[in-house]
Amino acid sequence: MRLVGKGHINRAKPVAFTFDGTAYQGFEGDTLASALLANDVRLVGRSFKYHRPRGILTAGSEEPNALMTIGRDARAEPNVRATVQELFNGLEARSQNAWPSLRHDAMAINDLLSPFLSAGFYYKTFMWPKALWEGLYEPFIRNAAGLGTLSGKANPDLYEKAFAHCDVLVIGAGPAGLMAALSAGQGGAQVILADEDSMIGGRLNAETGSLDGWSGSDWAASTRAQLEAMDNVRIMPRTTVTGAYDQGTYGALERVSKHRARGGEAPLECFWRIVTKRAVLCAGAIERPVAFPNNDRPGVMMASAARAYVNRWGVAPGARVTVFGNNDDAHQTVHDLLDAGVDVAALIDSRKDVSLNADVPVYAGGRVTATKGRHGLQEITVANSNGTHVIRTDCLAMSGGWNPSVHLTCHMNGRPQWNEDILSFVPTAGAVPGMTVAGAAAGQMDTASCLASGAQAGAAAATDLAFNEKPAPLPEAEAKTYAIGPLWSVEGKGRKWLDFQNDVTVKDINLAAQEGFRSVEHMKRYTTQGMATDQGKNSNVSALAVLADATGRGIPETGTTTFRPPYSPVSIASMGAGGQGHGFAPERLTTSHAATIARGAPMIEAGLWYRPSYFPAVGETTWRESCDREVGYVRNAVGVCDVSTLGKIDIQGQDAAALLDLAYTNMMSTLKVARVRYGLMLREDGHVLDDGTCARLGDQHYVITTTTTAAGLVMRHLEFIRQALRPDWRVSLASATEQWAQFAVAGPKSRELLSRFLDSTIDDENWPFMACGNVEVAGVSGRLFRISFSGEHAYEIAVPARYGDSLFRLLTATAETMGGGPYGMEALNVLRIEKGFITHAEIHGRVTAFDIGMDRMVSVKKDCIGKTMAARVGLVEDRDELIGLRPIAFDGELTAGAHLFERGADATRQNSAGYVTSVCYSPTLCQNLGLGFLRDGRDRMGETIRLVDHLRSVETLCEVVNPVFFDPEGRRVRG
Amino acid sequence: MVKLIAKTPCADLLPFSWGGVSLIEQVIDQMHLVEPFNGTSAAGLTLPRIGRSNGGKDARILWFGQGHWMVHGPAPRPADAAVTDQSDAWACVTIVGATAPDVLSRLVPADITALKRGDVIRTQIQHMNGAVHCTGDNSFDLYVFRSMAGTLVHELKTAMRGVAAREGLSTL
Repeated sequence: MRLVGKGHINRAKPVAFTFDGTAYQGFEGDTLASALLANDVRLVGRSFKYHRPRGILTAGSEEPNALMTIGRDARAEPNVRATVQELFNGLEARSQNAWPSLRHDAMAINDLLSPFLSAGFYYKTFMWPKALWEGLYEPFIRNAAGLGTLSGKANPDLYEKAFAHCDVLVIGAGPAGLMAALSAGQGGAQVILADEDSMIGGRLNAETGSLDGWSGSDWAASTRAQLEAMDNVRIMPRTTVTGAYDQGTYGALERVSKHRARGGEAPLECFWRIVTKRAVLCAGAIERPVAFPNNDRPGVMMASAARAYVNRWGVAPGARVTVFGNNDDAHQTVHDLLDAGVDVAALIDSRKDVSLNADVPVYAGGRVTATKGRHGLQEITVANSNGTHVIRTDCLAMSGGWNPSVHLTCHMNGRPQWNEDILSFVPTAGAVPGMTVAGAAAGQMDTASCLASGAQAGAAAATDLAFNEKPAPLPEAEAKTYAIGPLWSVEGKGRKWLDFQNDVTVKDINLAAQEGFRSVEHMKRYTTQGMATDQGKNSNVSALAVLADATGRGIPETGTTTFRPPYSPVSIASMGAGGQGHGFAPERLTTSHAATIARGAPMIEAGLWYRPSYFPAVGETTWRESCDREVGYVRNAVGVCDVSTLGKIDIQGQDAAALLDLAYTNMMSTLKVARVRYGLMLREDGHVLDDGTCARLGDQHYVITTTTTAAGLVMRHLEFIRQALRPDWRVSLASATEQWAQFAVAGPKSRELLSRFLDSTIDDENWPFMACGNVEVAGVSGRLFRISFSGEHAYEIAVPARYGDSLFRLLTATAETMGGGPYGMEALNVLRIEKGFITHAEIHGRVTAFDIGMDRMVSVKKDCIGKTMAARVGLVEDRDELIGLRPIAFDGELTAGAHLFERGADATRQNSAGYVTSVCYSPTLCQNLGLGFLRDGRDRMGETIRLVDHLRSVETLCEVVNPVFFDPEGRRVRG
Repeated sequence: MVKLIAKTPCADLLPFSWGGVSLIEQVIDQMHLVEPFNGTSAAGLTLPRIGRSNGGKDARILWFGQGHWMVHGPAPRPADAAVTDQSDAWACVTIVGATAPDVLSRLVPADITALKRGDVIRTQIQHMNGAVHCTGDNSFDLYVFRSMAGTLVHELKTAMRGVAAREGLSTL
């Protein structure tokens, strides 16, 4: 229920929300958890395995029970911790893991079957009968497993990613963090102060101790204002630093607008990568539960959480509260509750020597041995040397001590060390380079020590970076000794819960030890303790202590598991922010893109480029009709195709020719000015890297082309030659791909078309096949290359890219008056297959020059990259060689990817004699054609071979032929 | 006589403003890549240090990578360097505004706030390889390949909207 005069909520701003369909009211500043407690809602979920009724256990991001789905439909988000979700008007929350309702959950039957469902039960069941596995067991397990459901719809929320840089990153803005930020900032260092909470101050906002006479939260607010006034300090609230990575890089998740109704303009979350020179971890500590029988009833919560609900949110966690702990800190809960006017039934302290300055019954040396109240705590049983006692209570605030939050110090494979004084693990120095730890995270258990240690660490970090700085002045705060006595579990009838999220009990840990899983790593995986979304924050140390007991070792000997990022769950959407839709990859568009889209051409992706598949004409209903027509343009009239995407590398310098000779297999240094030569490049391992053309534009000036998707690869290859192999050479490389818009103009009328726009005349004499040079086209300086990928008389014309759109429109419109027009990738592919020209379908990375019949192109007169390795045993004999395929039946189907078999052989993997790489329907030859590789294929011309495609159930008898199907003498290209 | 029409890389995409930040296309008339054969100096040109730019408004030279300098203006003709026309190869967008550094921090992994006027870095802009030239307190020229102009504008607009939308949220 709500308390009067307490809390940092804004009572002037009521907020309406629903939980499981029921309407409630809270206030601005409430979390969903505090608002539910204020409305006396204690049952908030059902546990994972046994579907036990659960309530709110904590007041922080470590919450294991109050996991809810927020929102509906495509925006529904499961597994949101109610303790972290800030309340906003219209918030809809639903409990999870219960059907048909939270109160009456059918799956609670699991709780009755619990003796059969203990740790590792699935290793011993679901095995027989085998036939039932796929049909019954697996679907059943899938349905039962998992926590929360995704909507299955595309997520319309916005997410962001960003980078930040600083000198000192302070992680956590409690007393230690605030002092660290002040100290580091006062010296002028660039400081980022990040805290996962919406309110700066950490535990200061949940406690009643005073600093310099102010309340903790007032001091925190004033210090915040002081920091905000400093230009070099940046405060990031609602930002969880999720991981420590190499070289001072930290991941952080900022909840930008999760405290608002969805659907706004702001991103929901932002995933930050923060690069810092030094870091100070002030992440505080998390209180430990106690494992006593039936310690998981709604109404059992952490003692510090009870204080937080009272002091920060003005909510009484119960009408009659009992406190149970093993340390002095738990006593504060008694005082705070009494101050707020809440009835306190008793203090139960497991230690014998206990004194309490309050009018409340004290059970020294006491332990809670039983609880009652399935949907909400009603009574507990306490045992001590005086016997057993029953106490009527609706809230049990427990404390087993505090665990410093060492997680980030372990992210680079470090392990913490056991401190017997505080019965906790503390960080090991130097576990993360550049990071120091201060405050409760370092094992400092009172406010004064936290303040001092934070100031010290902040100043030291800044001084390390030559910002000579002393620790900032400390406010006066109470210094207390932290007294604690060990209490890990309590004997008694009933299960004692350790991991609330994965439903792991003390009995499970003992079972694991009994079955031989004695190392903590094995115990964790066998029982699943610590593997839920709270990552063991509430159970790791206690489970370890139980295991230590069960195996007769001390805690340090038993060890600890390690921690890995992220500290708390991070949505994949935030890590992939900016990558949805158009953001997935850069879209590289040619200069003819707009005109191409306007013609209705469907586009394909070639690497990052977009290229037209075909240009549909009015009346055409299939892509084949368009493709056949476009092939006809090129064979009979003139076709225009944008080939700007092919890589163009500009090579200049005295040793340019030498570089080309080393990179290409054939001689390039003999190429004359104004001529182009086809060339092949090998990798160091002797396999083909790429093929292309090399044009000599000047004495020491060449431009080479590469396959579209290999442009970067070839550039890197040439740069490696230049920088690493021959740094003595005078040669330079520059990418010219983007500088020039380049179009293929191909067909018997190609020269006629170009002549309309070229300033000078071109004929077979001054511009023979494989000539190149500068030209003036429609008033602009461009380049012309007489090369052909179609086998027809053809050219490629290049102009500076600013004129690309204009030239494309001009060429295509003019071509259309001549019986031709634009052609796309489908037609381009048909044309080159008809001529037996290879693409990366054939030079797929595992073929040599020999395989594709181009071993004569490897010059004997010089060395080249890959020449030596290409001569290795295994690469020169018994190879799959490039061949052409024609179906024997006129309508025989050919598919790329099919394998080739001898006529009499079974179509098994072992009998494969080759495979098909490219196929097309040829309108020129009126049949299907294919290219592929066949064992010793060149010696098998005329033979019949069997094509079998196992995936698409195609089987066709084919004739092995020369891959140059059309115009084998190459007459048309010179015509 | 038919004349070809020129289009700039960001034609139909810019200018654009949102949340006090503006995107303006810097039309590149002439620009050439100069690569000295000795990797460091070219006759007749004063090349800026690594990571810097120099020169007046019209004849500006930017360091553009290892052994690479981008020269705005007419083609230089040093005998001891390779010169390659890049006038049409790049899209250049100026981003200016009080929160321009915040917008860029969504896209660029390098420390934008550490850049001084005249600094040039080669870096990534979201998934694109590019260059950032700091031209003033809150003003930067961004260079990416011409073909990715559309993607650059899309990424910048998305980042601008995200940054501007935070203004409307309360900070408790």
